[in-house]
Order: sequence, then C-alpha cells, then structure tokens
Amino acid sequence: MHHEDLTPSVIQGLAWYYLLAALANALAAAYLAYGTMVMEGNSRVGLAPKTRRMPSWLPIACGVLWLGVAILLTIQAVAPGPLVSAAYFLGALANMVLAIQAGADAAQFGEVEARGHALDPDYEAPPRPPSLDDHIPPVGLGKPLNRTMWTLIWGVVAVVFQAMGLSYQLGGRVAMPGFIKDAIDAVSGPTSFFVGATLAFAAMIRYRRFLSSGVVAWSIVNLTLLFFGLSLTDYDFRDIVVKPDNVPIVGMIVLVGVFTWHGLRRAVINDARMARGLPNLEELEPEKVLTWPDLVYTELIAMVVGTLVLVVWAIALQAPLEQPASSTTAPNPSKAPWYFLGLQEMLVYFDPWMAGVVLPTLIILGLMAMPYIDTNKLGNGYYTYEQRRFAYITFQYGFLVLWVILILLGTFLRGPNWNFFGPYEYWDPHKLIPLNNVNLSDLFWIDLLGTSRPTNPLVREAPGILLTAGYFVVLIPLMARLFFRKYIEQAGWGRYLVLSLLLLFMLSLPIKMVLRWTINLKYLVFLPEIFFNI
Amino acid sequence: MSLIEKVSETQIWKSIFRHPMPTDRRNRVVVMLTNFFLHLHPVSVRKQGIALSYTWCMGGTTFFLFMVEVITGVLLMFYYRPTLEHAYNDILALRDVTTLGILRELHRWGAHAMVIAVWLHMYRVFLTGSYKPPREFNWVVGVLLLVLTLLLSFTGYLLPWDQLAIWAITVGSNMARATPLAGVEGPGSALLKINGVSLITSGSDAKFALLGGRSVGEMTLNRFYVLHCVALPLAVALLIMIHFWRVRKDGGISGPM
Repeated sequence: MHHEDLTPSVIQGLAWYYLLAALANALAAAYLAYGTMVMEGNSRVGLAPKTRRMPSWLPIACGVLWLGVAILLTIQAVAPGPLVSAAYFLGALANMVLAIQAGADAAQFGEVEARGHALDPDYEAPPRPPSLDDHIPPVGLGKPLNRTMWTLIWGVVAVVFQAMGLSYQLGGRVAMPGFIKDAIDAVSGPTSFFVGATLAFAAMIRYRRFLSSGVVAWSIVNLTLLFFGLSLTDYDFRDIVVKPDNVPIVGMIVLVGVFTWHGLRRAVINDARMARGLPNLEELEPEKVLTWPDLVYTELIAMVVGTLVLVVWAIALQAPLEQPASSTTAPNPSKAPWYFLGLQEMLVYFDPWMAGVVLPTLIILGLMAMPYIDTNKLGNGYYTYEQRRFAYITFQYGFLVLWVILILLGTFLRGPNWNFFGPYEYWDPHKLIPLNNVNLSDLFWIDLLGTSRPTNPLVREAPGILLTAGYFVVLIPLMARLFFRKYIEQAGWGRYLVLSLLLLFMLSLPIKMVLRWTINLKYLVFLPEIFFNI
Repeated sequence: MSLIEKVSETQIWKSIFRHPMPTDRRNRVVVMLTNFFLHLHPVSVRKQGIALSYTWCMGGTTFFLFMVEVITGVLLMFYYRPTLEHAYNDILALRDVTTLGILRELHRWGAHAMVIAVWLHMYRVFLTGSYKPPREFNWVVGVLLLVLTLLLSFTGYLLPWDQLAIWAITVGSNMARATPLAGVEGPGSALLKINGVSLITSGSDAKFALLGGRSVGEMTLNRFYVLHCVALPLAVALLIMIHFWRVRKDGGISGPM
C-alpha cells in the first residue's frame, strides 16, 4: 500500500524541526564562543574565568527576533493568516545571526590569541601554562578543546540545518532516498537489532572516556537529529512514531540517553579524579545549606516547570481514543501497554508462564535483592564505574538492553501478528514469515540419532530436561570457582546462590534468542501435557 | 513596615503558620520544624546532595506527578461512570463536550511521565550506589512503589473502554492464565485435584481473579476501577510515607560517606 510520504503539513513540520535543530546548534556555537565554560570541577578549582565576551547587541537582536516569532504565532493562532511563514523567516534569521556572529567572534579570538595583540608577523606567543581561555576539560576527559574550531563546526552545522529547513519552507521535497530505506529495512531484524544493541552497549562501556566528551555527545545528537528528521519523511515511519501513546516512548528514549550519558560522564570524571588522589565531585562541596530557601525554592521551580510541561503537552497532543471496545474484533497487532512491551517481546522466545509470570517476578525480586547481594562497600553516594564494574555492567545491560531496547523493539518494530517490520516498512497484515522452529527433542532423536521420538514424554524430553538442569547445576559451581571466589569469601554462599540464580535467569533470555536465531530452536523442554514448555 | 510584615504579625497568620516570614536564619530553621508540609525535610541539607547534576530531581518529579494524578483523577471521577453503558461515552464527552476535558490529557500524559520518572529515579539511585547500606530497605520500598505505579497505570489503561484499552488488558491479563499452579494453563495446575476434580479451572484461576470473569468485561471494568481509584492509591500513599520517612531516618539524600 502506498501513502503520500510528504504532505504539506509534514513539509511544514519538517521546516520547523530543522529550525529548532539549527537553533540548538547556534546555541552550542555561542556557548563555546562566549560561554564561561564552567564545567564540573573547573569552577571549584578556579579554572573558570570569563575571558570572552558576547557583544551585547547579539542577545538583544536574537531576543527581539524570537519575540517577533512568538507574537506572529500568537496572532496566527487567533486569526489564521500567512503569518506562519513570516514567523519562520524571523526565526531563521535569528539562527543565522547567532551562528555566524559566534563563529566570526571565535575566529577573531583565535587569531588574536595566536598572534598576540600586536599585528607583528614575527610575534611568537610565549610558552604558557594551559590557557584559561582554552576549555580545560574536567580531569579524565582528555586534551583541552579547541574552542575556535568547534564553534565554527557547530556554526556550520547550524547553517546547514537552517538551509534544510528553509528549503522545506520554500516547498522543497527532500526525502530520505529509497535505496537507503530499503537497505536499512533489509538489514533490520530482531537479530541484528538485538545484537547491535548489545555491541553498542559494549562499545559504550569500553570507549566511555571518548563518549564522555561533550563534543562527541553533541555530534551524536546532531547525527540523531538528522537521521530522525530524514526518517520523518517516510510515511510508515511517521505512522508509528507519532501515535499519541508512542510519543512518551520517544521522550523516554531521549531522557534515558541523556541520563545514561550524564551518569557515565560523572563516573569517568570521578574515576579519573580518584585515580589521581583528588576528591570526587560529590566530595567537593561538603558544606550544608538551609532547606529554606535552597531546597524549597528548587522544588517550587521544579513544580512550576513540571506543570508547564504537562499543560503544554496536554494541549498539543490529544489523548488517544479509539473505537468503542468490542470483544469480537481484535486489532492486529494487539499490544500491551508500552511499558510491558519488553515482556511481550519475550513471548517470542518463552511461553507465557516464563515471559509473563516467572521472569517478571524474578525481575522484581532481583531488584529487591540487589542491595543485599551487592556487598561492595565502594561507590556509595557518588558516581563511579571503576569501583563497581560488575554491578554497573549487569544493571545497565539489564535496564538498557533487556528492558528499554526490547520496549523499543516491541513498540516500533513489531507489527501485525507480532512480525518484525523494518522502520520504513509498511505494516502488512499478510506478511508471511515461515515458521520452521523445532524442539530440542526433534533435533536430538530424529536429526541426531535418526530414530523416532520415544512415546514416553519424560524420556522424549530427557535431553532438554538434563540440559536445563545442567545449566544450573553445572554453571553455578563452575562460576563460583572461576569468577566469584573472592565474592563468596566476602559475601557467603547464600548470597552467591541468589546472585547466580538471578544471573542465569537473566542470561537465559539472550541464550534462548541465540538458539532461536542459530538453530531455530523453539523449546528446550516441550511438555504441553502439563503446560511446561521452556 | 511592609504589608507582608504587617500581615505576618496578625493573629490569623500566626495561628496558621506559627512563625513570621522565613527571612532570617532563625525563622528559616523554625519554619522547617513547625510547618506540617515542610517538616518532611530536614532543616539543612548537604549542598551537593541537592545539586541537580547529582539527583536529577526525578524522585521529586515522581511525587509531583503522583499528586497531579490524584487531583486530576478525583476530578475525572466526577465525570466518569465505570459501566459498559457509560464508560466510553463519558470519555467521548470529556474529549468533545466537557469544558475541562483537558483533565484527561493531563491525567494520561502525567501517568506516562510518572512511569518514566520512576525508572529514571531508580536509575539514578543505582548509578550513585544509593541503595547500599543503610538504605537497603528503602530501595525495597521503592521497588514496591515501582510495581504499584505500573499496576496503577495498567488498571487505568482499561477505563476508557475503547479498543486500545480492552485489547491491551486482554493481552496483559492473558499472562495470568499461565501462572504456575494458579493458572488454568500454567505448569502444575493440573496436579491440584481433589478426588479427580480440578481446583484450577478457567472459572477459578488467577486470570479469573484478576478479571472477575473469563474475559475482559463489565466486572473487570468495576474491579480495575476500584483498584485504580481506591486500593492502589491508598497503598501507594502508605508506601510513599514510609519511603520519605526512611529517607530521613537513613541519613537524608545520599552522598559520599
């Protein structure tokens, strides 16, 4: 089925989308050019002077232009007219002025710094300690940042985004090329998606120092903005992403990403500081302040902001209401509420009694058990990775990959009949996926031994039962010997038993996935007589 | 003497607030001790403990959203009748007719936001290791609050009584059928027999208990409504009190020991 990819309202929406993306980059450029660069730790060790000043006309000019945008849009809302376009051009002008002026000033600063104030070609800057004018990153984040260069880069990105926005505003019809969409659809699948997420997680941990730098993070943000903007030109992508109930999930992904990055960054900084014998960031301000006004006012502001966000959200987006309930016509796909879609995705690999009852129960019990099995006394009350690697990796893998990523998969990429669909694929209810999954008993008796399956169900399923029992019986003592000796000495066997059981259950999901993808395994143990299928 | 100062000298003001405006150090301390709402807080807090870059403000946001849900929820109860006859039409009226129909949007988006805020709060507590002693038990209380938040959201999902609602609840509650021992299609339930008569049938299993019927119907709507509006909020309120009380007793907002 084909739908219009680029309708007039979509084009209009994309123009504003890139206007905001350009604004974000213009602000980033201005921040680098003029900002005081107060980064964690710098302010507290006296490395945050203000040496570059923003010309005072610049914020006034941009403020006036944006005020114009707001006024025009308000008039537009009351009395519709062609004012949206005028508002758009004002906003675009503000972005351009900010980005270009910030870049020009940064270049000017850079030149003055390199040559000195005397316009003397033979002038050589005297050797100096790390200049306070450079952005000196917090301990652990590598070399100083070249502010001039990065101001120019973000300024250019802002101009490019704004140019894209203007082209849409003037009726341009840039869309993501079909061959890219086809290629992405072709390589997406549950396997590549999950394996890719796991690899990305490993890379995040491995290259955490690189990732913690603000420039890298902002580059990723820009690439995501571009990719998301181009994806919005596709009808099928848009159809799923902007469903009212799916909008919060998009918000959640953004928030989880921001906080994951922030937590990682704080951990990297703290680890580097502690390695050098410096106090960690949380120890820098041990003094106490009065709750009134410091905390009470923060809470008040947070409540006001929260109210504003909710009211705007409620006005902008109507709560979904579909046809009246009918117990005879089931929608396809039928989906649980979004926060349970990770569990629904597990139904692909496990029967309901595991995916819907046992594993959720173990998630809850495991979370509750966490403070009692994590006997590591370090890392209490401050961000750190080095001091609690095992806990950090286990929890984050569970939360980010096994929970959030599975929700993402279940929400956006599972269509009719719970079939997998690429992000730009039409949700065809007649898509046929060959189901050729086999049970372990078939593989063992028929393929391996070349006989027929025994009639006694217990004998028939003996290989699977032994394998499942062996998974626990063999691996628990084996892991104890190989990896957890010190832990058991410190925490005792009781805690180890709980920990290892939880770990093995957690790992059972990826294991079951891999078995499905490699040998099409459906059940390890298949005893439908008593509803006991694993 | 300014107007505010004059007002704060009156008998009415003093009888309500028991202290003048908290403008000097002494009164800023006193206000935290004598005001019912403020005495949740300690008098003073560690500066880094309340830094936004440390706490992310997500626990407080969760509590704020809970209050939003209670207020909008109570108001919505004025407009909504949980019966097959009225449920859908009442929601339709909220959308198309009722002046304050935006209450429903506030309630629904607030609920989504609350689920997300709870997760992010737990995420921060994990990343800063704040579940470690002496705060182990408060983490457990927090996990219970997470479960209750999800249940609140889940029970509320049914109330609009549209296709989205009943099929989401159908998919979700089908799991209960497979509960080991207690579900009709759960492992081991066939073993529970007395004189050859099964104890666990589709009319007596976990799913039936959840839905008040063999499938999602009017009894389910009633059951979820009562859970959503009375039972679960009361449980949450109790646990929130314990949660906050323990924050204080366990040493306030966490920080390096």
